[in-house]
Amino acid sequence: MKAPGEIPTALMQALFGGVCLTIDELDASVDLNRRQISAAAGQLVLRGLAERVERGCYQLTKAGIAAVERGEVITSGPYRPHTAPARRAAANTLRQRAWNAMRMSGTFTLADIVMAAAQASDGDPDANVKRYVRQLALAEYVVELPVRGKGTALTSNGFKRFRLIKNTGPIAPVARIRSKTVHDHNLARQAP
Amino acid sequence: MKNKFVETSNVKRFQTALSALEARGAEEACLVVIDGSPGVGKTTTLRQWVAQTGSVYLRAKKEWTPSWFINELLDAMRVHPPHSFQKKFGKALEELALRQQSAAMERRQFGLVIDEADHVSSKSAILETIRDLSDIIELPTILVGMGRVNDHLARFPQVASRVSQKVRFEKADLADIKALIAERCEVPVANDLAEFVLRVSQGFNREVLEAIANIERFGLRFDYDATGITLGDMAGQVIVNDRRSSQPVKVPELL
Repeated sequence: MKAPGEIPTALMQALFGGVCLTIDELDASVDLNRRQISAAAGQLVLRGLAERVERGCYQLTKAGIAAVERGEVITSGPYRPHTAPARRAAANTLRQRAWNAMRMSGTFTLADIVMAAAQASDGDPDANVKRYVRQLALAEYVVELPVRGKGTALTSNGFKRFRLIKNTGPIAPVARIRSKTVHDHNLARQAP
Repeated sequence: MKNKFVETSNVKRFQTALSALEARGAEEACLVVIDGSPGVGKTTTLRQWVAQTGSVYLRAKKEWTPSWFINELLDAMRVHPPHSFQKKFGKALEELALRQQSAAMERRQFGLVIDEADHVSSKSAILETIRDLSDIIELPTILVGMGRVNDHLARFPQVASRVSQKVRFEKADLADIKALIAERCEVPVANDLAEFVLRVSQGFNREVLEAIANIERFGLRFDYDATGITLGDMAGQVIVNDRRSSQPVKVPELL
């Protein structure tokens, strides 16, 4: 059983001559089978240490030659910075809970969302949800429906009803008040 | 009316069932069935639970097939569905398990809610798929219906045996009505009026909320005493619209 990275290191050293070697030639010169040679060559190419000149024929790049001269040993683990966006659990905020409620509702009023999302620790959930829905409406995530729900107060014009039309994913879009934009982590982009 | 979620006896029973599910004996029994007539608060309760827990919510369709169901499930989690059913099922399992794990780390409940489950409760293929999902990763799965789910499930003993909790949402009683009035109404209401609300609403939450809105509308421009708005104060006022006849019901002038 070989240690992780031992096979590509052996192949890299075998390719050190600077010329393109075929799998047949490598098979004859190193103590590796053809499958191991092919897989290790792939790893070297991924790391930019070798290149495939033509089908089944590999040679070291300048970086590969420099790596052999430095006596570099290839190890397991990442070979480049991990730049993918981190997948973090959504924070348990009022707006996240409000977004959850909007996603599962057909049409909704602000009261429906506040009732579902608010917790005792929230400061002013009514005002917060109202601002959030307004931002989502400006960014065309939410549309206001033409007919209002019946109001409860004597002079009420009725409750606005909304529908979520852009359900982009489980993470609540972030409303940026100053720039009047919405950043959507589900799409990793900003909405106007 | 105040925008406050009120923990009625139905909500408490639902929460008790979920707590019992967490402390269950047979580990594979992860299904919960919630049944009840329309207007008793099922959707409001589920909406609040889903919003608070970030659980996955699906509304069953009459023509659902296992493939359609899994596609909707993956879509709800915003996962691009692979081509074959086998891979879709595997992907759904993987994503649900990840979310379940993340919820467990935050010590929060998590589950899959399938609303309008009456549509699928007589289809063995869908039920088996739901059972498999629920069994494999021990995922609490809540089937919400309007009274027929339990009857339909009786035809599938292999699924019915996985139902560990059954919650029947009942009409509100006087204590529920009083709790709803106390938490949501902006004016105090006397006991006799609360009892009248119970009678005319027949315990349906929708009608109770309509009555609260009417009481509030009247009460905010009425000089009531310390006991709050009484039945006598509201004599002749419309309190609710009758569910069956759609006719307005007025508080009687003389009792």
